[in-house]
Amino acid sequence: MGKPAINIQKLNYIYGGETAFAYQALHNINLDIMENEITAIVGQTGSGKSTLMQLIDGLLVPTSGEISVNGVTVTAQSNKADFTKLRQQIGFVFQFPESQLFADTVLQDVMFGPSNLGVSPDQARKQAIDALQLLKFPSGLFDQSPFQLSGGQMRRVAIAGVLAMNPKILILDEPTAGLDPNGQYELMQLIKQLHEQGTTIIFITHQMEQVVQYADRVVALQNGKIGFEGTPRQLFDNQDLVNEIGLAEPHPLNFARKLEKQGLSLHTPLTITELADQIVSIKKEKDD
Amino acid sequence: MMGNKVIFGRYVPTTSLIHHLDPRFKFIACFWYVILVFFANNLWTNLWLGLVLLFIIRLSHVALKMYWAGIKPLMWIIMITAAVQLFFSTGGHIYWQWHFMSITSVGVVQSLYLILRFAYIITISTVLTVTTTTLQLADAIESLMKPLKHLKVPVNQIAMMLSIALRFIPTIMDEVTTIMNAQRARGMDFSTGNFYQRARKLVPVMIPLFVSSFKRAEELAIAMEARGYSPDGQRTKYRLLVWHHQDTVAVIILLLITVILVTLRIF
Amino acid sequence: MAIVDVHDVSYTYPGNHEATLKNVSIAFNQNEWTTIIGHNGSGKSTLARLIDGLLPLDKGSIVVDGVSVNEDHLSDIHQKIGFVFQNPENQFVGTTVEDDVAFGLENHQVPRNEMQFRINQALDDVAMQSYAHKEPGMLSGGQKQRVAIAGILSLRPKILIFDEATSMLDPVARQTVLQLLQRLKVEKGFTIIAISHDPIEATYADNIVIMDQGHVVAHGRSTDILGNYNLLNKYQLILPFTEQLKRALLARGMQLPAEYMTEEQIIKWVSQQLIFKN
Repeated sequence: MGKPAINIQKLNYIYGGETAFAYQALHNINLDIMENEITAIVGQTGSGKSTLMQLIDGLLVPTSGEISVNGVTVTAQSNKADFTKLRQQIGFVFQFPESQLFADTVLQDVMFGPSNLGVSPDQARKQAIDALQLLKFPSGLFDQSPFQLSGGQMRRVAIAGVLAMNPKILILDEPTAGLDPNGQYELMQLIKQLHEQGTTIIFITHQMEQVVQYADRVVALQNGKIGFEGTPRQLFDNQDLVNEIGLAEPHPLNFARKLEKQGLSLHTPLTITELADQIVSIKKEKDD
Repeated sequence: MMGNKVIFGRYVPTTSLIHHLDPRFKFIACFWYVILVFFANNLWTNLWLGLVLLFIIRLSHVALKMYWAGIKPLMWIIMITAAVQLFFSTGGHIYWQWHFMSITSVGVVQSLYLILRFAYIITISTVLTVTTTTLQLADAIESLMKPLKHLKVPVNQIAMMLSIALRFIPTIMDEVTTIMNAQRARGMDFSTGNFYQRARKLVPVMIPLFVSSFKRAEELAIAMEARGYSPDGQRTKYRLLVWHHQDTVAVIILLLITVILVTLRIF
Repeated sequence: MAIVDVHDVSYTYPGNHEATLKNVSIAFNQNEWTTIIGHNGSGKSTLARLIDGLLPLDKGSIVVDGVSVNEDHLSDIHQKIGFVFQNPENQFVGTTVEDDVAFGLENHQVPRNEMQFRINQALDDVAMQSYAHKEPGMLSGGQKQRVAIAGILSLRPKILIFDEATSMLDPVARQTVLQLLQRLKVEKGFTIIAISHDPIEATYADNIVIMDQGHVVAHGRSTDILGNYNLLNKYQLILPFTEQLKRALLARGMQLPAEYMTEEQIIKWVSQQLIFKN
């Protein structure tokens, strides 16, 4: 395990400040996100996942507590410059990011991020092209209007727009939402590749199969508090906790639970491979 | 999310008598009160209107703080207008004079009345908005517009537009927040630069907003069609405004208030 | 018996050169659930919209429950077919849940005194009654889709069309909606046409249609289609979980029945193999 890329201490966040409609979205969050790991953030709708991510990216001001990212620390008292600095440490891909595209051409849109960081136009262009190529976006479409692309292509352009800023840490809020299964697979492979190239990844997901397949660690939020933090296996080993947090089990595990009801004992298979291996080895024991 | 902005005063759900009055009555009574405010011309009439207002506020079971929140943002405009009135009115005893500016007894009284008028009008509007949901208000407007049908005004379509606008305003506000956050995450800083630069920075927000709003409108139109909506078609109505006994009583009280005001004015 | 009959339908979007649908003929059986799968651009949504008269028919004919789909019968068609769209947000018309359900009733000029009963009943059917006075902003995506379904149920249609209606929902909400549909299908005898690229959704269906580049390339009982690895693979469609497991077990040398098995069947089969056999 490496050193923490993000350190969060005693973080609280209340929406709606001093009005009668205020409600506390996060309660006393203490959390380390490790460098060079893939962390999955899970939890029911409204559990505080998006709020936490926006705080990490300096888009919201904490009500109390502190957030440190690569040595940049913000608290409730920090000034605007600190939040801007925080934001520069992190790339944030919003949910349905294609809805933020605006420029005349694909390339211009992807250059928007690096240009805002103050790099030269040539350099911005280079970073934009690198990001688009990384996403295997066809170069023949660089000068197309982003609004003429298919949904999947628009998603890639939007993600390229964030990657072009060369973030060390990348946050993705439900990156595969609304894509078809093949599109989902390709995007998750890309995230894996970015991780292999040294990017720290945090992604929000509702799909437990993705947690099992891609995440090193998983953080589960429950009503604005951390309900679990650890490896996916530790999480799914604890069936009661999974139910309490309101998560679904990965399909293979759910299947195994049904087999267990028939009197078989399996050892928390999280993938189809594990499930098949366990079934076959039980059969071997029986046959012998 | 819950990012609704407070404009005049947002609906405060209590179960007061005022809340239960027919929104059509509240709407008209609010207008009527504003007319009365302009009708009031002396100390007694103004005091009477103030008294009536205090009584209504008490009946509404909404904290005074909410009403103050309605006036506060407009405080500057009130003060400046009152100052103009104070320095530029003539007549009566002159207390102070400098070039074309003067403070006169008439000016002092006039500017005090002006402040009162502003305060009354804002507060009565706030009473309306804190005790009536936007939905009820829209129903009231629709119902009050009905006679315009005879003048070939497309009342039904206007009412549908109004209702859809009400439905989607919060959605679109959320969307603006999301798009702004997404662009801030891409290094955009909305809070620096001169006027021209800031205006330019709206482009990355407005274009996505337009694109998505058009898409939304298109999808909504198809969904509405699939559920049998046709703009020219006849429709029945689910939401009914029912006139209760208490509303009739309220009308009588309003008339009494008016009669007393007129008497005070003549007297 | 076919309740929806599509005959030789082609459709080209205005401004496009290539036809989106090419000579499609297909019949949907009454009281059955048919899922149409296929990639984006295969024409599946276009077909669904043509069936509901939401696009003008270029060529060919469609008959829905004895009524042919054209300009003159739109109101009738819209009453027979309830259509749920992909985006929960953009089909929620009313300012509150009950108003949204009322919207369709108002359009079809259902008398006011009947509305309350129908609204209550429809919200009850989708377990959203306690939300009747809530505003859409306070609902999750899954809840909004359930309200959309209630809005449709209140009109008492015969056919329900779901155009990727669960694709924007999280897996738990998706399961809830799918189970709700299955229950409604049985209890009320609906014909369901669902469009999806989700293999889980396909397993709920009685029949499956595969569309590719504007053509219907396969149509049959779901057990036949979901068990046909070569066919699904040819059109790059994801296998349902049970088939993936079966293939994994086969690869490890286990002998399995060749035909498609539902999850319950596999569980039964595996436990028989592992427990009772020595």
